[in-house]
Amino acid sequence: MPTTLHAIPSLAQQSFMHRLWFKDQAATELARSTDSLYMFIVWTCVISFTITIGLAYYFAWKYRRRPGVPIQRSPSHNTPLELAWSIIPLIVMVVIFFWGFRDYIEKQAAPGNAEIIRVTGQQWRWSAVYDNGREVLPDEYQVVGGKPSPVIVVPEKRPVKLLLTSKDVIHSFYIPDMRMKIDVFPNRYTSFWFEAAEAGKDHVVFCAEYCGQDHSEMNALIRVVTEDEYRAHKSKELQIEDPVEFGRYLWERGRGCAACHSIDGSASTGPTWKGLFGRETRFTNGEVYTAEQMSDVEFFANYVRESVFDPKARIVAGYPDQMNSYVGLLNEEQLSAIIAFMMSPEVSGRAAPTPPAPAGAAGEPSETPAAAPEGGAE
Amino acid sequence: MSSITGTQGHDLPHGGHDHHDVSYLHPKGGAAAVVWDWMTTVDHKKIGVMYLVAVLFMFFLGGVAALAVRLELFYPTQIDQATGQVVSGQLFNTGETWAKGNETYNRIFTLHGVIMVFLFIVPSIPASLGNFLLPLLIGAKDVAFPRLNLASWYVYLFGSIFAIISIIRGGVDTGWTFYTPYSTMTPVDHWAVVWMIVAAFILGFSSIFTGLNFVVTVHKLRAPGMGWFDMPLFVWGIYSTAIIQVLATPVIGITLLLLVFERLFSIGIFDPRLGGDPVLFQHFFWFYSHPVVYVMILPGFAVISEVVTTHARKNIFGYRAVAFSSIAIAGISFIVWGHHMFTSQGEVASAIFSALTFLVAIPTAVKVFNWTATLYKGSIAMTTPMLYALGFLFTFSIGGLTGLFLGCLATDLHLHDTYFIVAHFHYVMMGGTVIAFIAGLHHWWPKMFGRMYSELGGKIGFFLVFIGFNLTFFPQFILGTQGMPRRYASYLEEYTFLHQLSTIGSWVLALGLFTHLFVFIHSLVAGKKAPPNPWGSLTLEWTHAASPPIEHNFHHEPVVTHGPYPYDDVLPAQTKPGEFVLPPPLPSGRKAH
Repeated sequence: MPTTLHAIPSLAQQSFMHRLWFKDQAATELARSTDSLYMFIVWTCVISFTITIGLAYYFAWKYRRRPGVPIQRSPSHNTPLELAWSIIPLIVMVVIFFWGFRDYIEKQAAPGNAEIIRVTGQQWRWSAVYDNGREVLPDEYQVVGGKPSPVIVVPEKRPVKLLLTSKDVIHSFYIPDMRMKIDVFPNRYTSFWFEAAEAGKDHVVFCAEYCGQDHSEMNALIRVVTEDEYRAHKSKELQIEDPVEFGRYLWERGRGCAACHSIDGSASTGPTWKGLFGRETRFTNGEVYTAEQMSDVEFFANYVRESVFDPKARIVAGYPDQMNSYVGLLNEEQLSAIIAFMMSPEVSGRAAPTPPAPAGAAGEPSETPAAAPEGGAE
Repeated sequence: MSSITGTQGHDLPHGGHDHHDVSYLHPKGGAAAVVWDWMTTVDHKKIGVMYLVAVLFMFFLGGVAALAVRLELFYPTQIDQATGQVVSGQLFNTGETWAKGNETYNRIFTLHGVIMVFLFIVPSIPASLGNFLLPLLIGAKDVAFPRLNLASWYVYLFGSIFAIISIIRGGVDTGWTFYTPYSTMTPVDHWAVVWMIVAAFILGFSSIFTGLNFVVTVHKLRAPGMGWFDMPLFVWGIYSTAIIQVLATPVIGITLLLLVFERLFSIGIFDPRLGGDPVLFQHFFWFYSHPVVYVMILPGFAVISEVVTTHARKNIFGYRAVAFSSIAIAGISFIVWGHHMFTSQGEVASAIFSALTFLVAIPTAVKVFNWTATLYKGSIAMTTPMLYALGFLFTFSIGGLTGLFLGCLATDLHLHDTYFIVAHFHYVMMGGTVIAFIAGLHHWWPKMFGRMYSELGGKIGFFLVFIGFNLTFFPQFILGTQGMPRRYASYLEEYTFLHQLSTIGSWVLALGLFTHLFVFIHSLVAGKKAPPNPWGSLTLEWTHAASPPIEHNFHHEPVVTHGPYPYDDVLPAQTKPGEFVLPPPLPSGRKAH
């Protein structure tokens, strides 16, 4: 049972049977405990199988039908014997049940101080966002089983809790080295916690719930690093020179605006960005921004700024009040990249305008500059 | 003590004088008349044979799909990272993209699952052997509702046609479990999914008809003198199965109907986008599909009890324990469905379902111990059915014991949805039910068709099947323990060796099954005529009916005065099967018609 993290023996120290079954070593102390339980059940099976089937085959040979050997009488009922072979298995089952139950509860309940990483499954890839809002970047993918898969970096010797959800069907997040999986649903969050024992190891993640065409290529890697490496890694941000491309990246993956805002005019949770630059917009409070106002670069930029940092200020008529503030999740550079992307010909449908310069230091969202219109809306 | 009671010198029919005395297989007129006779028959034996032909055909289809699945998995798929093209290892690749190959693989494993579960294994033993033997074993002329019996076969045929329409439309890739929301949003042909679900829905009715028929038959049509504890254990097994079929099948019917409504009319039941809950589907689905595991395996137990007693020439050890354990398993099977969902439900539910699951292991273990104890001091003939029964003890015990890993919560979180599960349920379904089915076929073949088969051929077939089966599925336990998930079209290279062992095993297994097919065909064409009781068994179908039985089964209704296996009391020591002489008939008994 879990004692200390350093108790994990190396592969060479493990028994032959263990190596035969598992090949690799457990990545966490809980996984190690599961292995012990597993081996206990293996031996239970081996012993009971050998006794029962051994006896059956011995009888089959010893009492094989031979000329001149008459049938012998034998009892067809024996209460003590029958009670014994009902009760002994029952006791073994009770032991296995409680052992399994105890480890199961430990696998379910994460310590309160766990590092949270959000993981999303969709057909057919995993994506992950660290607790500072930074996503696994496109250059942090590695080929696992034929397809580039995200590498999720985690700190060693510290509880990590993955908060999982799905964008489409049911998936299952499975790390064989941790002897643990949990199903991932489109309509709720589930969690998977672990405390990786050793930095410098990679652990493969599979999708274990059948989810369609590329189910077998829906992989990821968990990479365990030291605490310092983890902090450095988490704060590393992707930089793309071209602001429009950087904006596109932030929209699509970096900050996931695409989940609610389309750029092709299709309906979604929030208003589409297509043609928003220069579009007459009505709000639930009765205000109207004219097409002329919205065509003004400064007016538009401030409108977007307010919508991002104070989304409740104005709600576009016909849409729910659903967006949360991005204060702390977007810096000035990123915000202007998103605005540049919104004003790009592809999204706005207009000739290329000049994007505005960054509006000074990372401002408080409420401090809308004086020239700002009365606000914006989501 | 007691003895077989027959009727006035007419224990065994010897050739008929009127049409009631001829074999049920005796043709009535020309080819067209024979076909018409079979298609409209209400004789349980003919319906049993028709079911046998149908389920064996489905077994063949599902088996071909299985071989294709194993062949695809011989090599992992190799992808050229630069071009995204498949380099090697994809059997189903059409040359375009690897995605295409994956999709084909997904359809084929679904096909394998759907055919084997709904079209083969659920009806396998109960509908074929059960139909043929249940009335014979209880001394009845037919089942309680012969027309309902025929209807069930046609409903089965009808359901199969829907499944085949679905396959012709390209098949489905949902897995046999139809998990939502994937099954409501899969990109394959819309109607293929609907037809496949409708097929499973219709097949459920066939199952209900059969089950209902058997329950009433066992209650009402037992021969005079046959109390509940004088019934052969085959009857107990089939009876327990029938109860589950009647009670559980309506649930899957409703569930599948809801699924079709959701797909066709966007009624939100299981799909979260429509306000439904996908886990609800899993609960509904397994509320049926777990008890159905026992619809599959209880008939297997039923066959093994008959084979072991006959070929060991021994009264079963602990008759009541074996009989009650069938009923206990049937009862507990209804409250363990949640163990399919340890990774998707709350902690309390999981703990309760885990505990209940361990409970079901006890009656199952008791059966195995009883069969082993039955062999003690027996006179054991190593016939093909007996070899299969011994093989069954081996494979089924592995299947049952590996259930411990899965009922146990902590280990299940690791092994759920891996190849360990695949290996476990194949050891139970194939190593249990199918092996028992083959044992039963060999055991009752002389009775059903009046011909003996080649013992040597049967034994060669057994060894091929036994070795092939273990070679196919044992490596999958190790694969699963090492983390290989199920339903994967490809895999990491480290799993290659074990996958290849498994694929080679599947060829040996197929060879064994074809050997049996050949032996059976040879027996029909050129087999020796079977005596009425080649094994020296003491159950009614052997002692009181001809091989093959006459149309009304018995010349005179048998009267039973003892339990089913009085070998210790009745039999002289026998040295060879076939030389068995029935004990002298005693007076009494009523006319059958």
